[in-house]
Amino acid sequence: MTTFHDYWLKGEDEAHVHEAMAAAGLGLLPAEESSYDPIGTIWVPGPDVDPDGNPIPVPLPGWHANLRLRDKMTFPQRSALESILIPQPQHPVRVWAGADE
Amino acid sequence: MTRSIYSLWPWKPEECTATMEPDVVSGLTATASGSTTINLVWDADTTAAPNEATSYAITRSSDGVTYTQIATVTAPAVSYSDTSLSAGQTRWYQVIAENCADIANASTAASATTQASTPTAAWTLDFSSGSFSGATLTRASSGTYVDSSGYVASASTDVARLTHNSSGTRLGLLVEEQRANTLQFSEDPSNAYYTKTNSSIDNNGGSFWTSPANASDAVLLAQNTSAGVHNINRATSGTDTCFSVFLKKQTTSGVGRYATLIIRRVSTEYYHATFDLDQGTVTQSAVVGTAITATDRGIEDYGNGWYRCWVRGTQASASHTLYVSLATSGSPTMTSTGESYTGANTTAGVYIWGLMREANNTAPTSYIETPSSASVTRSADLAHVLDSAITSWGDPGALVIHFYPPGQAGTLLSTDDVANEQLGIQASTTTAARAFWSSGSTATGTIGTGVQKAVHYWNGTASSFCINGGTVQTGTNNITTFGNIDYVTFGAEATSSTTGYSQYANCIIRYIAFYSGTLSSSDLQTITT
Repeated sequence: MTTFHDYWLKGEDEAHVHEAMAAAGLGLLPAEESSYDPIGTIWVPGPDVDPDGNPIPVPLPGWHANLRLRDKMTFPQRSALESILIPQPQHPVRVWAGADE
Repeated sequence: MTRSIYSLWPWKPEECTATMEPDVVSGLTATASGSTTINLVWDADTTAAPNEATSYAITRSSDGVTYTQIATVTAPAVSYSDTSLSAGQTRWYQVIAENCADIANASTAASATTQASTPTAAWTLDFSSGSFSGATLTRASSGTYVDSSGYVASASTDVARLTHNSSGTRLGLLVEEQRANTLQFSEDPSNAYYTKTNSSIDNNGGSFWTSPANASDAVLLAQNTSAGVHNINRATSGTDTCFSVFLKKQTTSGVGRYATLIIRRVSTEYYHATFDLDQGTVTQSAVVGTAITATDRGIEDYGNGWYRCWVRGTQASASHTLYVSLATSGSPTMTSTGESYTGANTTAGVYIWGLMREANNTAPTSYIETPSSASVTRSADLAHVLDSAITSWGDPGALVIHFYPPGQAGTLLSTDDVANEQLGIQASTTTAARAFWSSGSTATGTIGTGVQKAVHYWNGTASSFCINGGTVQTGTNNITTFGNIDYVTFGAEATSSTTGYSQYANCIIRYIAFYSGTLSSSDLQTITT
């Protein structure tokens, strides 16, 4: 099975993430070389409920994305992404299919 | 008109009782059958005795002027098959009635043209059998498909998904865009992630039931004896939603046979569809309120009693709740959370497995398991073949694709766009398809059910499109340097060599071929029939 290299991104907003990726040259990778999953804003149940009693979702800070590369990120790429690269979440909101296989 | 008859005529034997020739043959028709045969039929002889026809001379012409006898048919037979022809030949025929006294005048001529020979593809990819070869497919995650036993199975990264129907019959190559299942614990409805209302999850004493994946991991959504709705539900967020779930009947009537899926915004705004899990049909669906639009629903047979049921729609507000609700009939009296009734016992319900919500308002894509408290993304299939691998690639040429009706509007097949010259075949909706090229497209043709066959033919200045042998449509294209094409993409559109793939049709591709050289409209119809 092919080995991939996974990265977790979190920026202030979508534009921030895309600008950093472009600066790293990751916005122009051939599709076969990368897979990008824009998760966006993460919503969680909030303290308030709607008239039917369902919790009203509230957004968490930040704009999230997952990035999967066939080749390990180079040092210049990693440097360009420094402002949005985050450690692997302990409880990720989104994973790639088969990640646990 | 000249005619050469090689019978010895007239010659009247002593026993001949006829005194004059039979009536002229009437009602002659000629019909082509395949590429080598033309069948002749004419009316039965009505000449009064003793002058009735005793035989018929069959004459044939290649120009409608000069006829030569090719056979004799003994009366009362009134048909003849000329099986000595070649593809695309037009022939004229006359039939002449004869008796022992004389010969009648020739019948009115009838003509037919044998079918043209089927053009031969220079290059083919057949995904309907065998292993995947001759093309490149990558996918940066695993993905599910239906295996040759009819079960939901998982293909590892970069492995082509050659999928089947529930009977295990190969359908073809599954090509889908990137999608995520935003529900968690998709095969564990007992998890507290899901809210159960007047219902419980029965796991068969820990033994579970066999799921569509042929694993012991399906459970029963069972009612309780309370009055009210009986459902499992989960709040979620997002505007576009496709909610799908695998369900199986427990009984053949009442609760255990029917289930309702609901996309609910609030108590006055929801969309619901009820499914008969005995017959595999949608028995009722409706939109309540105005908040949920562009709705649709469906049910698909997964074998062994399992059905994948789904509803989809778009809503302006982000938050909504998805329900699987038990029902007593196929036309329950609905509330926004299901039918309200009093459960007769705590054992009736429907088997349930594989809950999935996609943030897209299209038909569901292949199932994505979410084994934990995270949603899961299946990466896109990237499928293509290099032009250098395609025999005789160039102008004029034709790309043919056999496919099943796609899951969403998109591109079924396309070339890349080097020098801004691109062509391909799109499904403009799930019921129509067309050819497209850099500067335009044809009008649409109709997609039916089952295997669809479409062709895009170009000759450097014009494109033609035909689907399922229908009317050939044409348009002027700007393809002048087609040799610059690098590869042909399946099931999507490669917008450039660097920015990736788009316009996925989420479809199953059965066969792809390239025809080199000049093709007529008749050829295009023949190769798509």
